[in-house]
Amino acid sequence: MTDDKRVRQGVRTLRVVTALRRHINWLSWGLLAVGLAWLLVLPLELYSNRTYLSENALMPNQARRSYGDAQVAAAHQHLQALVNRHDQDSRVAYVFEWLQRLGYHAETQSFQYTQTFVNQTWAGTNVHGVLHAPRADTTEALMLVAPWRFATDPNRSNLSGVAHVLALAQYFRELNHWAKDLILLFPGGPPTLGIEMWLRRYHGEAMLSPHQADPLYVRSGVIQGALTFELPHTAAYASLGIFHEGKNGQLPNLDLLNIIARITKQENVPLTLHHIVRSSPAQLNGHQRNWLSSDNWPLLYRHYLDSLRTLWTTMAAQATGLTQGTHAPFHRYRIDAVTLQAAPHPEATGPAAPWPNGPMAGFHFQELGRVTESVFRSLNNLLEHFHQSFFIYLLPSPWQYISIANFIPPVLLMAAGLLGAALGSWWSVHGYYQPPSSMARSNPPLTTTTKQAAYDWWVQQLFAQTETQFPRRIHNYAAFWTLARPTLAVLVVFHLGLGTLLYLLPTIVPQSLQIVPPGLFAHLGLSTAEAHMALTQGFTLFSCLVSFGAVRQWYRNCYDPRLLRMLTLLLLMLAIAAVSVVNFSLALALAMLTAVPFSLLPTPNVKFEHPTNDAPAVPTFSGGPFVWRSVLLAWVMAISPPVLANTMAWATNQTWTQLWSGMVVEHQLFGSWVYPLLCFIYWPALMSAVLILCYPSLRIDSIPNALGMDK
Amino acid sequence: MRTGIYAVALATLGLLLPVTTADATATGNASPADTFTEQLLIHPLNADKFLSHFDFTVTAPLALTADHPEQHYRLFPRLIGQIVQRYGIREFHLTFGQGHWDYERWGYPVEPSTPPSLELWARLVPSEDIETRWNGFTNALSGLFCASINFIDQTTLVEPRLSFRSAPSPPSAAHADKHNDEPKSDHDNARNHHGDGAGATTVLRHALLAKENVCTENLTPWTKLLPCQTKAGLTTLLNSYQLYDTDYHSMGIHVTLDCAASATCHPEAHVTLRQTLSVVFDRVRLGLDTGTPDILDTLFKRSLRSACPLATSSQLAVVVPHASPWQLTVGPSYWAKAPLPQYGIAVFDLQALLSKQQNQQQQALSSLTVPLQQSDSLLPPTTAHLPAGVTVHRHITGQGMERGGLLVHLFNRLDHAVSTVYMDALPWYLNVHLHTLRIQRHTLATTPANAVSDLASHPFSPTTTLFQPSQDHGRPTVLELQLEIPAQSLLTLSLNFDKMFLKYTEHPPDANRGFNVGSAVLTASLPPLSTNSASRGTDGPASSSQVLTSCDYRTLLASLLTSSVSPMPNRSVMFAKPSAQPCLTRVYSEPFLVNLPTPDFSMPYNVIAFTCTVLAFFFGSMFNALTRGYVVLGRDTNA
Repeated sequence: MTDDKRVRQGVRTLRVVTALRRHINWLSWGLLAVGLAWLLVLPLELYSNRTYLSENALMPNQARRSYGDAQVAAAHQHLQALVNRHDQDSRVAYVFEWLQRLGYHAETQSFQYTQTFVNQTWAGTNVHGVLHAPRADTTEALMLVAPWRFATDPNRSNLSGVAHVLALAQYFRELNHWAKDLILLFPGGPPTLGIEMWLRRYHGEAMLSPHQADPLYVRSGVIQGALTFELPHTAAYASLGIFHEGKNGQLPNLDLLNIIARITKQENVPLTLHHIVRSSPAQLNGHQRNWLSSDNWPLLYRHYLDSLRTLWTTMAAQATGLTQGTHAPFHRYRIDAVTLQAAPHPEATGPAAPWPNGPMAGFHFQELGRVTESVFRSLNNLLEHFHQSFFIYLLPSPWQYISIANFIPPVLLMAAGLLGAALGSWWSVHGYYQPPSSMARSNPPLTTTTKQAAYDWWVQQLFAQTETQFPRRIHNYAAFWTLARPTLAVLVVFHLGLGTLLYLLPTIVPQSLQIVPPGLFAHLGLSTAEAHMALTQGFTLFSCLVSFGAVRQWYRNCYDPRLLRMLTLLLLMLAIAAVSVVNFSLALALAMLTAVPFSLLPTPNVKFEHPTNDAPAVPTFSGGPFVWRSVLLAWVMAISPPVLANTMAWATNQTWTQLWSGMVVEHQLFGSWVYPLLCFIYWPALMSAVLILCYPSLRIDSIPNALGMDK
Repeated sequence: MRTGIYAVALATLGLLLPVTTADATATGNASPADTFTEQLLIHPLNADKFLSHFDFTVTAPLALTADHPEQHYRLFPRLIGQIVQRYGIREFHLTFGQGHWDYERWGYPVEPSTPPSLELWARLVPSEDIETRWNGFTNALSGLFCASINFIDQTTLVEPRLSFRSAPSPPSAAHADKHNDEPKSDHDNARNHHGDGAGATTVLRHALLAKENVCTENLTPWTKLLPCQTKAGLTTLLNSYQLYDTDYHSMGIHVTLDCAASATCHPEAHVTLRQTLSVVFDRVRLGLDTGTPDILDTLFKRSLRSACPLATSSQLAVVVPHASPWQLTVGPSYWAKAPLPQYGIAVFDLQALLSKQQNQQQQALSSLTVPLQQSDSLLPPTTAHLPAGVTVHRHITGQGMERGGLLVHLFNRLDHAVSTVYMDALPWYLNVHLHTLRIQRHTLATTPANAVSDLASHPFSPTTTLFQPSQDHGRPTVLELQLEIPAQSLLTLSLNFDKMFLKYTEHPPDANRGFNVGSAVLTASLPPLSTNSASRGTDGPASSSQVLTSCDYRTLLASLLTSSVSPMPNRSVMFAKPSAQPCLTRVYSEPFLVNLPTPDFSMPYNVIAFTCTVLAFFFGSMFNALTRGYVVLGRDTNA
């Protein structure tokens, strides 16, 4: 390559890189905007794919169903018997006796779970029965679950569900098609807790005191699938709602939902996701999907809104982990499970009773029984565990799915935006010179005729600017380390120290309350959770002061806000990107909360001033306009956990202590990641943001030596 | 010319005549040394289940050892004889199975077996070429029974040291001697001599194929080994449609030489071939409602029209507990008394009832009907349950692909301590950690529900522990524990293992199903039936000590044969007292399914493509952006 070419290439690269470095903030905001806009593209009908059955062995709707009037009558008998019994113990005894009479191996299990944080104990009794499949070995099993109460609404009883499952028990016992055992479970207490205790004992986990659960002696093999029924006590149902989100972003295999969708379609049972009533059909035909013709636009718009609602509900359920049902504990054990909850029919008045030919409108036990029989005959065909279809997906409707390749770019783009903002901070720390804006637009004078002369002119300009504007760069690692140590100390104090303390508080608050002068909190009228919050806020304030004052004292140097901004942004980016492949909705929530304010955090400018003409330049930090910083501070406060907890509690109609303790219990019982993420990433990041915003403009005289700048 | 043809025809007829008449008097014409007996036992286990057990036994005076090459086969199948002789087998037991035996509800099976696995255990003469002989033996059986017995390789083969010491010893060999001289009981004699110390001079090998399906293809060669095949006798009842629609199906073949325990056989040795088929039918699926259904027609959907003419004894025995809702309405040939007073046994002598011999007083039946009447009040299942005294249940615990554990429950519901040996052979891909073995003892409550009342557990240590660690891609882990289970107690064993990675080619086609691991074997020495049944009669709750063990069933079947020597209608025959000797039997646990880490088999391509793309595009540009500095160098004026 000739010199000329090299020179031209060098100049071109220099221009591009310079432009990139100057406009990096705009680039990152652009990525954020694109990411946010992409989110709105997700519910589009064009963007999702039609679901298909991956496992050919399932063959839904191929088995002949014979669930009929006799079984419906049995279900109503059981329902009446259960309604007539008014206390839980006699109902449990009724179910136990019936299971034994039908030939199942039955067992009861009592459990107790104590949560010291909220000083509460939950207890209950599970009943389960096992039918050993007649011609099969006992190595695999399918489960039918009917809790006594709805998991998400403890005031509604699920006696219809229990009766339905008992009738199915009677019916399934007479069939000889089963290749897998059948386990029927009726969890007591809070249903999700009951199921979790049962599953823990079934999989041989030991109970840590003070929790107790009886060991199980009546068992079967590996559980390949589970179905939960929650049926309200009405005479007819309008639609069947599927709830499929599990804890921590786990989902059942899409094939399980596919077979339920196809089977309910065959039986003319309307199917919804989370009881979202659609104003447009879930499956659009080819003519309706043609978005070029304007006749279809109202329909497509309604379809878009329905999908948006469904996606929003799914993401809210996955991100918070608080509104799952009784199917959720199964996913941790690699058991694919969904909850089928029926919605009452508006025209069905009065209690459930066997009509001559079924209910007048809607559907009831007859159709539900046929659906369940079909689903179980399909599941029975499985030779292997569910492994073919998707495990990570988003459903805008029961017939459309969005695969991870399509829904993950928005979150990753937002993370990339944060990365860009972090790069901007890094370049300012590293001391890359930022040529004045005039340089890129200027051109060499007309006297230069050759390219070489033009290049020489450019170089001269650069040298001239560099010396006056930005005299020094950090040359060596030791200098960088001197600069970085206070910042890293701040980060360690926040993320590790404060995070650990926050994380451990729920377990040590009851003990720590004893250290505090006795009766102080009681005197102030605070409950345990409120005391937790008070202690937490005290600690955060304390750590702020420590970071600002003590660190400075210790290292004879204050933290560098540019470096702090960079590290915080990087940490957030890592958290978002890493969590997005596990729990997309949680990552999205984290991104939407933090990406915009954090990328708007001002990069403190470094101005080098000459006190006198001969003295070397001294850097001065300036944090940016005061008004802008106050706005951002208010924003950061608005998304801080205490305020967020109150907002969400108001939105979901409970007290914030309930919400807070719910989150802590979710983590301790089900291993949900929301609370640790909050303690170790989110809250400390907000504290860092506060520190960056509150950094005053000041001159630091000791920096030139610390920076090790050469003379 | 025509007279010549007539003469030839007459001569041919004359030659054939003795053969045809010989059919009618077959019992007299066969060599007295070969004997064949067939028995069918029908036992309503509780209100819902019927146990049907076929027992076909052939005894022959054949010394099937290598130094007696010429043999004369009559009723004994030549295929089996040749296999035994050629491969130096002294004893082998092969069982196929399907379904599940419910020890808590049905007591003990007649023949211990472990459906759904295929179990083969054999004693071989020790020599240098034992591997070749074993391979030949498994392949020969595989070809004979159309089963995948040749899949038994070093990963499933076990040589037990404490278990399987001998077959269940018959309780009253001395009495059997007194009652008859038939060679049928010779094997009892031989076993009595050799008892427990067997195995000193032969090599005992045991293998389980955990998921081996059994079907008509296996039944057909099995029935072809019998003298009457499927043409006459009890084998006409073997209807595949009914047999494979049962809760429990176990088909077995047991061949024992007199000299099973020693290396050399004397020339007058006998060999016994016993073919058993046990099935448990379900009342609800059979559609058996109240009334008096004919049991044979309902269970087998076939009618029994003949007895096998080559048999010395052909019997149908119906064992009906007095407390059962099922009762017999038709009179049998005679009633027999079981070892326990609460059972009534009706015996039908098929040869007397069905054969077309002229010298019978009563009319021969065209087919036998056995109507059982069901009482209107169906007893609830709980009081009709007779749990076996000693049971073992084994389950897999843990979740995830890295590690797991075993949880074994050993129940002893009897009032005496029982000495047992627990043997478990786990394949090599489960890396067992012996130091994690924990045994705890709990006390059972004495209520009929057998609830575990005392959850406070005490540590328990075994008498002997034998552990053979596994070899990768080779032999399995074998754990043998000698345990003295105290009375009325539950022992809980827990053991942890790690799951290993398989090589890419070792995954089966249905890789995500997992691997089936065969049952664990508990060899137990059960105490004899308690004779003080006065306190625990039919009105009190049944106790586990009143459950018939495999030895009791064997005694029962043997005694029914001896009593057929002089059958007299409607006379109760008193049997010998139940044995005072303990019964050495085997109780099996359930198999389990273990999921091993399975790769997505398209991942190598995906990973390579994805990683290269990320590295090329992201890492490269990031690295450059972070580290590349643009330094303006002076231009060399001397271009």
